[in-house]
Amino acid sequence: MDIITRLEEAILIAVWKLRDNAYGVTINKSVSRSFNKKYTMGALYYSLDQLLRKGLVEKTLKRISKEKAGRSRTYYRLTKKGEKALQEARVYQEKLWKGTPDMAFKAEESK
Amino acid sequence: MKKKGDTPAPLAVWILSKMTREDQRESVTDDFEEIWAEIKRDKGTHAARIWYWVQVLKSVPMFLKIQMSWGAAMIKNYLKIAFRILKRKKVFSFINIAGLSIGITCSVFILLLIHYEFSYDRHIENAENIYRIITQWPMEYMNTDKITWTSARLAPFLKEQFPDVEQAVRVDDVPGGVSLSYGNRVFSEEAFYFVDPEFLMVFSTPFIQGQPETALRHPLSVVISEKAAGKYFAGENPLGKILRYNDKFDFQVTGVFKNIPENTHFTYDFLASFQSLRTMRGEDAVYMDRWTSMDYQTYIQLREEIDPPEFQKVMEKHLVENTPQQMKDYHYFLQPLTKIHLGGNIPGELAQNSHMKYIYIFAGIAILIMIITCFNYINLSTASFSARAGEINIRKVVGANRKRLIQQFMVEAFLTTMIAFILALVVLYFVMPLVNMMIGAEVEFALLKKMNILASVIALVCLIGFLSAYYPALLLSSYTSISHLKSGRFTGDKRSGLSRNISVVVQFVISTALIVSAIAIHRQVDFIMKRNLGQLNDTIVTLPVVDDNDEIKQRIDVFAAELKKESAIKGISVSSWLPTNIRSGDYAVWDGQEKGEKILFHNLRTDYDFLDLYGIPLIEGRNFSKDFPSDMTQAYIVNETAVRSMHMDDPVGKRFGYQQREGIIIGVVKDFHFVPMNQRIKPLAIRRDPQDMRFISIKIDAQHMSRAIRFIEDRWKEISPGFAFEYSFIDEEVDALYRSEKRLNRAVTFFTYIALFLASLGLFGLVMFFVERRVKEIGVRKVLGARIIDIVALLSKDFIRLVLLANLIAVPLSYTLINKWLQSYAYRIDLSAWIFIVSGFLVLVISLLVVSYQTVKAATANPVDSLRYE
Repeated sequence: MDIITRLEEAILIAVWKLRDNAYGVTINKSVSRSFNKKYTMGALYYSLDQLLRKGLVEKTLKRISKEKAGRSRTYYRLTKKGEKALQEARVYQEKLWKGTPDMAFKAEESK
Repeated sequence: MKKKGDTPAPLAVWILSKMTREDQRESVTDDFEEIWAEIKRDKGTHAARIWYWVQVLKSVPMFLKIQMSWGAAMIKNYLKIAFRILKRKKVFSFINIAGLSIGITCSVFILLLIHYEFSYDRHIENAENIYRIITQWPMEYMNTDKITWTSARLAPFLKEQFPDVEQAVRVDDVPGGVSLSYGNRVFSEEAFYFVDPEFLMVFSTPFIQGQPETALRHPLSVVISEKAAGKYFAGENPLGKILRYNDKFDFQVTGVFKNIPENTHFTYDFLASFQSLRTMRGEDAVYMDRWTSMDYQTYIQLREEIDPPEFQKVMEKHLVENTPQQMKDYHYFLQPLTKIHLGGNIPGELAQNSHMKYIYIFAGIAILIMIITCFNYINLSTASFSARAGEINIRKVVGANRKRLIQQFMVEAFLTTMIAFILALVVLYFVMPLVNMMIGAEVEFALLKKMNILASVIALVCLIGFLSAYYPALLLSSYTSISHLKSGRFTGDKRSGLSRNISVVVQFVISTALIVSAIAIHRQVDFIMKRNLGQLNDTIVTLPVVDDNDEIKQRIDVFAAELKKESAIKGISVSSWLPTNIRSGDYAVWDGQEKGEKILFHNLRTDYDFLDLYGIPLIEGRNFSKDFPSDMTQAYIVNETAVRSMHMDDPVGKRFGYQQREGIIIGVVKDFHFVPMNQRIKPLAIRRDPQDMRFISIKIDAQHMSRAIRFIEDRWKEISPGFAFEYSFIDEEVDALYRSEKRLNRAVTFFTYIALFLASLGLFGLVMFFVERRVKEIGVRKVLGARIIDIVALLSKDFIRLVLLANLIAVPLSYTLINKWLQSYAYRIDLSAWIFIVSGFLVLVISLLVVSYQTVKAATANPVDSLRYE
């Protein structure tokens, strides 16, 4: 199994949560909110590209305006592999945290 | 509908989309537009716009980096392939590069030539503000009513009356030249002019010695060029030296200037002060104070802010008010200095000029040669595609898209063009003097050192490269690969076949039309020369008489008497003009003239022997004779045209008057060409009059020519030591009249050879590929019993058909063009059918030779070689 980065994880979560409305801007917003940090679009495209390449997400092109030659938008969706990777990441996370209670909270408070 | 301001700036969007990867382009622009909309909502349009542009600019460096590293890698690969192909296909590369370099050489040469023609007089400092005054008078002379002559009073008048005129200067030339001597050095000089002192400033004459401000203030002072200084005063300081003018006046040298560049509308070696004319003419000089003294060139320099058309109007009005009544029909125009050279030859011109039409002709030829060159490249590349199908298909399969393929062919074409360009420069460097001599131009290779010219030359070469590369690249990259990958070659390339046919036809239309033009121009020039020379069956040597006074007249008489002692000299005559070019004229009065009827007569003054010497036949009446003393004051001989235009039935004995001299017509001569052939023969009046004789004509025995000329020279030096001995043959004089026609003739012929050669070269390459592709077929046919002649016919017929079609198109095209050119001649050849037949036949024979070289080779080859499988 590939270990995915924290940002990738956040993106996968965002795509999962956004369901049918997952595209560049919304993903960016969601990720930025959860990390409380503004991500540039460029950084996001790179990671989305990596995820596409690993086969964790897939993209579809949907027409968004009614005009005939109107714009289309790329929507992202988790693949089966992506869902699995996300679950594994969660398990891995929890394993990692087991036996170290409260540490995180203390650190959070002391900031 | 979308309003402006609803979307980001289209330019920024476009740049952004160009910089993103193709598969991301859609989503990137979409996302950015949405963010843009948000920022606009929160912070306003302005902020959004700035944000968008910042995003765009931020992505530029990375984009460039990626592009360059990958681009360089690709170009390296393209160059490698291109070199390999050049090496592998030697004949193909040779034809391509040779064709291109010849084409480029011609185009660059013509470009330089055109540039040179436009560079005339631009080296003069205030060239933009200097104008020449042109007079329009109510008289048609040499097919125009304009002359460059103005009154000697005009320049001072303009300077006094108009504050807008910074300077006004006069120039007077000496027709026939002058004889100058210093010690025992005697030369005849053409480039001798009398000018106002300010001339040196207006024309920014570059002085080496002396003061331009004061050099020409005094009568009988002269400034000379470096060249002239070396000629007369080699090794001495010319300042203060005395040059003797026509063995009569002593001019003091007051300055030396750098040689005047050839690209000046008149180049001068000697400038004498205008005041000298008064000293030299003595009492006669009062003539110069009259408005009617129309003998001088006037140049004015206007103040910078003046609007020339406006000034012209004001000047015209003033002049009408101030000039005498008889000149009220005279109009005056300003001709910009920089336009003089290409403004054609207006009568009175100080030196021979060119004409815009020659620029058009040369530019046209350059374009035609460029077309042929580009078509050659296109034909050969498209023809050779079948051989490269494999390579291209593999490229496509491994992921080259159309853009990449086009890029590859562009690189190849540019490589070929660059090699050809470098070759062309080398060739140009060596052949330049030769071509210059052949077509009578003075283009310098050094012109290429100027940045703007170099830039335009490089632009031209890039254009040729682009034009020849674009179509093949487009065509080749457009094939879909699957079918070709299977067969290994491009089948059914109907499109490229058609385009090749079209370009072969166009090339041969151009070649044929050029050949027709070359033959027709040659015939016309030949016709003119023959017709003019046809009047002159004998060898006649002419000597100019540089000045007119009693002393010289006596000398001429002595000279003539001396010459008659030599048996090789058949006759001698003195006249005001040569019979090939009579350049003065005036109105006449005659018996039966209707009121208001005006005819301009050209006039000629001769002695008793002139008509006999030149063999001009009398139709009626008699020649001048010593038996009739009154001939000296009364007799006139006119030509046939004169009789016709005066409507006289029986001209001999009728009264006729001319320039205040009443007389009678004693004879009529047959019409002969005394004006250039683009003009009709005009009325002519000849009289016996010893005044103002300018030329001595000496008929000599052609078999003892050198003896005769030596004899003439010896006598001449004995009798007039102060005058240079410069003779010319009468046929050279005729030649000089048609210099521009001959130049055109040579240039068109030269470029016709080149065009024909290029077209043949292209055809050669094309047939080569064509035959190569059908090698197997030929083998099979031969095995099955086809004769050589059948195969040659089979292979050649397509090409020959194209050439025939080209001939058909070329005939009406060239007929129209040549006819238009011929219209400018009053006497011209008929465009007979044989010119077209010969041209067409010539092209056909040449193309047959080119085609059959390949086809015969293919047809005679052993079929075993072509059919054998390895």
